[in-house]
Amino acid sequence: MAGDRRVFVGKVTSLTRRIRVYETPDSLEIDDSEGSQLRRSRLFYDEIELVTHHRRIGPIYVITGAVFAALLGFVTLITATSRAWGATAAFALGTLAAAAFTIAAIVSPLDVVTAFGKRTHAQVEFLFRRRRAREIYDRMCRLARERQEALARELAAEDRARAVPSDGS
Amino acid sequence: MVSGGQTCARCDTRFEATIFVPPVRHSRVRQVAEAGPGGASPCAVHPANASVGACGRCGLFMCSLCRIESDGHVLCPACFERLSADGTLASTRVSFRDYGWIGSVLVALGLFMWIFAPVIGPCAAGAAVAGLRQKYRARESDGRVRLWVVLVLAVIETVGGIALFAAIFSS
Repeated sequence: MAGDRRVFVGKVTSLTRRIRVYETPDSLEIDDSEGSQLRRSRLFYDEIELVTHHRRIGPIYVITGAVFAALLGFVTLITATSRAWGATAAFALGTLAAAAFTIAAIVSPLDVVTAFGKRTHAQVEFLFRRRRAREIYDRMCRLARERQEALARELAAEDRARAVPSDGS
Repeated sequence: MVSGGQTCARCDTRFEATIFVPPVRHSRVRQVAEAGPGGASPCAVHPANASVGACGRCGLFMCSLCRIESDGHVLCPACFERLSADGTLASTRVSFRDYGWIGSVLVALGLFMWIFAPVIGPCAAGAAVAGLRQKYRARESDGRVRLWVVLVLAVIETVGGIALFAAIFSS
């Protein structure tokens, strides 16, 4: 949205923690929530040392999908034995959808983009959104490169200014 | 390691990496002796170093090691610590209450426990309002719709809960 200072980049969600990453003009801000408390850390673009993009199977999605498929399958069996065919069809569809989700989560793993800095790192995960992950990877690389090149120019200019004698001779 | 496609040594899967070599800031501290007689005042903490300015809050002379710029202020380390401790410097705050999460949990509780809705509903609404204020103040791009939904649900819960109690007492 226009005028936003903190633009949402992505998140990592586990059973106990929710990590959300935001882009600000000078850094990536990492909001790490555990319960009702939120801790914020920053990864400055001029301190980024490595950006990676890898793929891995997200256990939370596979487990959730499998549990739902098993539960719905069990309910389908129960409704089938009691000859309630309408409910059986509905639950069977649900079972198929959950099973399809589980298989998709295994076949098409999570895209994980990580930026490592000197003190901290920022990580975001994308399920079934490979293009978005690629965009974020490219954007993080571009921001880090631009900022580090600007800083290098600034430091070189400072060094040159120091080298010139103050009386101008 | 060089930038580009890589193979993980542990799991043997392919991944992509870009390496950066961040420029290092070398802070150069000018000595009082270097500046010559009357050329510079000494830093209050490091007497051998020439000062590069005064603290914007207490006026203490500072060398380039002591000078801290934060939230538009130029401060000495002691003033920086005091101001960050009392929350005046917004960018130094690292711990917050997650009102969005509190509101969502309360509203979910209220949906399952209607008997407590007249109490839980206003609390959830309060948390949602605080969360929205937090989002707008920080100018964050996400989560506003969810908080508006929480606020509406909290109001419905409150009104519904009061109506439920009214119905119970009137009958």
